[in-house]
Amino acid sequence: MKRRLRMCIVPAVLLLAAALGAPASAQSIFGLNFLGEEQFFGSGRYRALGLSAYAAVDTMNAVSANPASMADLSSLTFSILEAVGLSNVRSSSTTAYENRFQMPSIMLAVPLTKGLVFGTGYRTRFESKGNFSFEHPLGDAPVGFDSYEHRSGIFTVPVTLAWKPVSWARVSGAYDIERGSMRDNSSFIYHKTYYSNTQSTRVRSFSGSSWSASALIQAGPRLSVGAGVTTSTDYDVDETFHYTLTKLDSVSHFDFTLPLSWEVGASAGVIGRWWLHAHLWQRSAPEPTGFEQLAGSIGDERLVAFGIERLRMQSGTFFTRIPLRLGFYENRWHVEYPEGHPVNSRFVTFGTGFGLPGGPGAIDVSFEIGQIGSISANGLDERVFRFALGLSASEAWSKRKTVER
Amino acid sequence: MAMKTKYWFIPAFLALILSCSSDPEGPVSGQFVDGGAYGVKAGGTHRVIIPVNAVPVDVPRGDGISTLLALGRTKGIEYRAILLRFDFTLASADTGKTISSARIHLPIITATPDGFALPVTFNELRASFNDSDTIVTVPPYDPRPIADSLGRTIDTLTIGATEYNIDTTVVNGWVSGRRPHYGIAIVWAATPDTSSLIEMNARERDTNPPSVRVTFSDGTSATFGPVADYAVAVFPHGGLNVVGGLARRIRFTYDVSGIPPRAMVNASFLVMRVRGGEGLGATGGELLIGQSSSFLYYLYAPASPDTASTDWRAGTGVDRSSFDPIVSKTIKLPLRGYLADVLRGARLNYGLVLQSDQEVRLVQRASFTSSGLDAPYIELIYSLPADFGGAR
Repeated sequence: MKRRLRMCIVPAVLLLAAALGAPASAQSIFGLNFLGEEQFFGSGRYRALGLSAYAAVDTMNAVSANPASMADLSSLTFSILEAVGLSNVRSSSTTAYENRFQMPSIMLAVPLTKGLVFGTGYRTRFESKGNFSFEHPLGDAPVGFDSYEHRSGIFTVPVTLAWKPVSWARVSGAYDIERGSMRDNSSFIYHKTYYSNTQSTRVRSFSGSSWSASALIQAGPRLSVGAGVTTSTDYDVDETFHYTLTKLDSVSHFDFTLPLSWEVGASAGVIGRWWLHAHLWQRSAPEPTGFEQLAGSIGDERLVAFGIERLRMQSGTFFTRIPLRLGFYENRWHVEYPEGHPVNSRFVTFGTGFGLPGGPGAIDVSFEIGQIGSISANGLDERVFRFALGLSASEAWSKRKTVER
Repeated sequence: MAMKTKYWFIPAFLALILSCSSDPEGPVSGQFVDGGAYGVKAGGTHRVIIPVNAVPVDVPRGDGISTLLALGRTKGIEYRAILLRFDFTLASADTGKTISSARIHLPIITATPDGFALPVTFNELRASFNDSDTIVTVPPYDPRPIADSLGRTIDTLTIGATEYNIDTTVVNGWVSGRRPHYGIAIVWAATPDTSSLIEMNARERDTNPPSVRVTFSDGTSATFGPVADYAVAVFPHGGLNVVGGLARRIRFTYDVSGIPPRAMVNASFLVMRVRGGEGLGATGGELLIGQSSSFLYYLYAPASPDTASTDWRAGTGVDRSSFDPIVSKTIKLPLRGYLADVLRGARLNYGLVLQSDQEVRLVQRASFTSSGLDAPYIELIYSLPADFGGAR
C-alpha cells in the first residue's frame, strides 16, 4: 500500500514542485496582446486527441473537458495536468527561442452518492508572460534598455456537481469563481554605477464569476454527444499604477465582460476499438474595454477539433495494451494582429496513456506540434512543441478497476 | 514494478527541467510595442544639459592643523609667512639664568626646486594669533627684523641649514617675561619665483617641530617648543578654483524649470573640466611625508541660499570622492538622489557647493574651466512614465 501511494505521489509532487518553481507563463507570444492565451481544460487524453474528446466518456479523470463526465467517477479522484512547451518565434528578420511552462490544472472529485459527484480545483483560463527589452542609446550616456515585463494569469475555481440520473445521460453544473491579474511593467534599465532604473507598473486585478452547465449523452453504444455553455463573466477590474515618481501613482477601475461561450462535441466508435471525436467551441468577441488599443482587432474565438483514438486492449502485446491517440485542432484567437488578420493556431497532437501502477488511475502523455500565427498574415509566427503529462489517481486502491477507454 | 517506477521519473524529470522558462523574445516583440498592439509604451528617455552658474566663494575655514609649514609660491598659491609662537616657560632649575646664545630651529625637509634658497626675515608679531583661525593676510608685525648674533637681519632658508641665530636680548626678554611674546613671523625678504617652496615640519607632525634652543651662561641649555604655528597662504587669483586650506569653494546654481514635472531621474552628474596644469595635489614636502596628491572633494547641497550664513557652509552631502587635480580631464560628479529630490520637491534648490574635503588641513588647488563648451554643467538623464493607453 505504501509503495503504491509513493509511486503515485512522487510524480505528483514533482509536477507541483515544478509548478511552484517556475513562473506562470503562456504558450504563445501573441498572448501579450490581450487577456493571454485561452487554456482549454481537459485531461492528457483530451490534449492528445487535439482537444476533440469533449463528448468522450472518461471514467478516470477529474480534469475533464466536459465536467458531466465526472458523474462516472465512483472513487475519490485527484487529477493533475501539466504542460511544457518549446517554441521558435519568428518574424521576417529575427528569431527567438523559448521554453514555457503552463500552470497545471488540478481537480479533486468526490462521489457523494452513486452517480452524483462533487468536484473542485483549479484551472488556468488565460495565461501570458513576456520579458523583452530593447537597447536605447542616448548620446554619450551609457546604453540603457527599455525593458518590458508582462504577466497575466486568470484562473477559475470551479465548484461542480455532476450527475448521472440515467445510464445514458450525465449532466453537470458549476459555479466558477474567476480571479486573476495582469501586470505590466515598463522599466528603463542601466547596468552602470550611479544610474538608477525607473519603472512604471500597471497591475490589473480581475474578479468575477460565471455559471456553466454541460451534458453528455450516450445516444448509442458507440455514439455519445456533448454540449455545454458557460455564461458571460463580468469582471471587476481594479487597476493600480505605480511609478518611480510616487506622486504619479493612481488607481482606476473598469468592468470587463467576457461573453458567453458554448460548445458541442461528438464521439463515435467507427470500427472495433477505433473512435472518432469532434469538438466545436466558440465565444463571441468581447468589447475591448481596458484594451482600447485593440478596438476593431478583437473577433470571435473558435476552436474546431478532430481526433481519432484506438482504445487499448486488456491483453496482448505492449502496443495493443496502450491506447493510441491522434488529433488536430484549429483555434482562432480573439485577438487579430493586425486588425482583420486573426491569429490562428493549428496543432497536430498525439499521445497515449498507461494504467496507474498499483491502483486505479491513469497516466496520459501527449505531444503537440503546431504553429501559432503566420508571418504572412500576422508578421510573425510561433512554431511550438508541447509535452503534457496528466496524472489521475483514485482513492480505492484495493479495488483495481479495469476500464476500457 | 521497480522498473516501471523508474519510467515515471523520466517524464517528471523532463517536465522539471523544461519548466525553467525562458523569455528571449525581445526583438520579435518589438512590433507589438511599436505598433501599439501591446498597449504599453515606454515613456521615452531623455538626456538634457542644464547650464550652471559657478562662482568661487571664500569661507572662514582655517588650515591650522597642517603637518607642514611652507614659504614660497607654487601653482598660484603664495605662502607668504610662517607664524610661530613658543612656550617660554622655564624649568625651575633654569630660573634666573642668563641666555648666552639663542637659535631658532626650523626643521626644513624640502626645497623646491633643488637648491632653492629663500631670503627671509624674522619679525616679532604685534598681536597674538590663533592657528585654528583662517589667516589670509600676514598679521601686523614689527617691521624691524630680529637680528642674529652678528647683527644681520636677513637669513637664507635652505635645506642645508636648520638653525638660525637670533638676538639673545630679545630671547632673554621673552623668557623673562619682560618682553611680550605674541609670536614671530618669518616673511619673505624677496619675492620668490612662482614655483619655489621651502617646507618644514609643523608642530602637528609630532616629530622634530620648530623650536627655540638656548644656551645659558652656565653652559646648560633648554629648548622651547611651539604652541601655535601657521603658514599664511593666499590665492590672489580669480577663476574657478576650489582651494583647500584657504577655504575657497565653488557655488553652483541652476534652474530646473524646463524639466517636465513627470520626469523620473535615471542619473545626474555635475560635469566639470579639470585644468591639470593649474592644479596642486600635494607639495614636494607633502609627497615626501607620504601624503596623497588626490584632491578629495565634498559636494553638498547647502541648507540656505545665503552664502554668508552658517547654513550655507553646511548642508546635506551629495557626493564625496577624489580626483587627480593635476591631470586635465572632464570629471562627472554623481548627484545620486539629489536632483531627483529637487525635481519632486522634496528638497529646496539652493544650488550645490564644491569644497575640498581636507579644507582645514591641506592646501590644495583644483582648477576648472569656467567658460565655453567645457564650462560646468549638470547632465540629467530622465525617463517619462510609460503610456498605458486611454485616459489612464
